[in-house]
Amino acid sequence: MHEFSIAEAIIHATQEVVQANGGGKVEEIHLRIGELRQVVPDALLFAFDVLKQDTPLAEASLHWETVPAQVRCKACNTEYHPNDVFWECPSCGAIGGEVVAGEELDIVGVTLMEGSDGD
Amino acid sequence: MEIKVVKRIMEANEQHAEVVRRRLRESGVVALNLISAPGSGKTSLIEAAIRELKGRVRIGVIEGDPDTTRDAERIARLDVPVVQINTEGGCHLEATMVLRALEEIEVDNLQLLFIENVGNLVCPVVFDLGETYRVAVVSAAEGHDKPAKYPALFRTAQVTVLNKIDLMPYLDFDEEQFTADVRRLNPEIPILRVSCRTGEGVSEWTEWLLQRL
Repeated sequence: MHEFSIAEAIIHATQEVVQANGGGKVEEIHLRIGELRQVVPDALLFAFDVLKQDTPLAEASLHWETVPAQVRCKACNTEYHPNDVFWECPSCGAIGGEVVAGEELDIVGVTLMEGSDGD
Repeated sequence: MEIKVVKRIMEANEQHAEVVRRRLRESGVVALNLISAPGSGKTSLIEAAIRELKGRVRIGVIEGDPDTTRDAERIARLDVPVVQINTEGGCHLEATMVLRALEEIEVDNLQLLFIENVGNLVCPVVFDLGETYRVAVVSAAEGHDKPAKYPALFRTAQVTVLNKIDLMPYLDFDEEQFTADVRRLNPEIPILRVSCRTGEGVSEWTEWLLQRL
């Protein structure tokens, strides 16, 4: 259910991007979402569709790419993709590590409808 | 027109969390963000700490709940400053709510601040509140599989409290599995075994708190 919280934050952050660029009606929002965020795509789409009503994003659609998780072993510095919730280094077997990628929650592009921008 | 950006979705909350962090640092206050499922005993853990530490440590409490002031009333009976945040159905606290509460609670007069998040093992993990430490609370009655099912909380917490250990004889709680799973997610994290009901482990909990000050 954290998809609702994330959808709310997406709407807020997108409005900031649009305002900073002179305003307009949003057609598409492009996101980058890390695998470790455990975002369920259908849940996010549903939440976004519910929450966008009555906002300047009412006609916007969501698009995203998932960034695979990448962890750096604290013991031997090997970078690997964890296949399980428990992170175990494939080279040395050490447990845990630092996240290199997979925690992204970014807006990477906003498309405005033709003729709706402030220019 | 396409606008190319890299904007963090959580940016607004992160900025407010930084303000909270700075405010806490200026006041010399250690703040704990308690995260658990509903009914794990967060309020009881806070009450237990207040009873043990009152008079020695200046404590304040921010209570987060979707509705009611029941938890704040419980804390107020112990005669410490408390602010209740009602999220009106919202499933987590956000940094702006904490920022407002800090002024109300007169944070400058405190040393230790408990922030009891809304009972939920998922959403609160995504929202930094600017806390000094994050506390994961699990009660034995919830089962030993919570760490494996909700890994992000246990990865990002600095301490895990296993509460209601007095119920263990009546449960199929596999403590060995629980401990192993927590350690596989976060190898160095302390796991405190507590029963607020019998008082077992409460002194380890308060000891851990005192060492943070």
